[in-house]
Amino acid sequence: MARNHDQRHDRLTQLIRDSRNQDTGVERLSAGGRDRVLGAAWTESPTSTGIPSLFLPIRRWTWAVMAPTVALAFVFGSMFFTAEAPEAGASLLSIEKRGGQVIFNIANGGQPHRVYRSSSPQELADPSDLQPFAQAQGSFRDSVQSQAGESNLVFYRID
Amino acid sequence: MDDKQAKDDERDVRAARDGDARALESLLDRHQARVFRVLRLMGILLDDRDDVAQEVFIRIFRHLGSYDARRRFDSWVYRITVNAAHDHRCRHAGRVHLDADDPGVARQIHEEAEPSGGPDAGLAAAESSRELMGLLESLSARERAIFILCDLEERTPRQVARDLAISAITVRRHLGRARRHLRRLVDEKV
Repeated sequence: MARNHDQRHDRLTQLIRDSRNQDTGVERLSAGGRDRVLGAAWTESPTSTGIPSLFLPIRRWTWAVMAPTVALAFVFGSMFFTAEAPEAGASLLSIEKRGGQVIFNIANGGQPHRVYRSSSPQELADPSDLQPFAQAQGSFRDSVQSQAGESNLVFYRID
Repeated sequence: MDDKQAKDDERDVRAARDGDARALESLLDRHQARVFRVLRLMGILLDDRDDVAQEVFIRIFRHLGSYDARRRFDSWVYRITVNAAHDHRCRHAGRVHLDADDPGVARQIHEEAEPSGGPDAGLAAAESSRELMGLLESLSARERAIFILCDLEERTPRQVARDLAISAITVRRHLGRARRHLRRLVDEKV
């Protein structure tokens, strides 16, 4: 009985040991994958200096805003658990509803911002596959009315 | 990860933020084996791993500007890798299922596991890998990530707590539960 017990626990220990010793060093990014990764890092740059936006001295800021059909609410900060969202001051973004439109005013709108729009916050966590909804400088607007078949809860990401 | 590597990371992150392309490549080269290893253990199949690894590094580099340099870089890599693996599995919930009895999956494990020791060593490694992956599939996502990081990547509960942004108590609780569960499964098999 004691021997059986040892065998069982030895087996789990053995599996752990095998996994630690398994040679996985050969697994590497494909040449195409490597190019894509490095290319993506460098093509992020909105400037002509060759410095990608992610390396700008000003920390990137991200907001996610929820705009339901009737009420309007917004949340700042960490919507995405995949990356650390920098702190954002409440004064950076103001939102107002005028008629059938909602208008977003960006306080530091002197520089261009990419705005993504989706009914899925997961999609916005990594918007690389999404087309920007708008290229905003200062402000942008969207219709409050939800269209048929569209979720009435819409999330925005402003980079 | 030793202190030298941590210092190299620190230096490369700083250089990359200053626009040094070679620093990005160094970070990629230093961490890609770790990323692939964790993705494999998280159940990302061989055919998908290159894509998910690309996603991991794109996320890392894209957010390098907001990375807090007071934290260890490897910890950040672990977090993004685990999250990317989790996202991928959620997106492909029906497809990414490691069934040890599936001949295609078994062949893939065998091919991956066959080391330079030849076919016999490859078979033994494949069997071991298949058994472990089957066991890992029975854990919840969080238990699996914690067990992988603690017991297979040999990180301390305190480090894993930092990796996953949860408390060390939570790590220990889930780790204990995962180990008990796996032992029970092994017991049932014997």
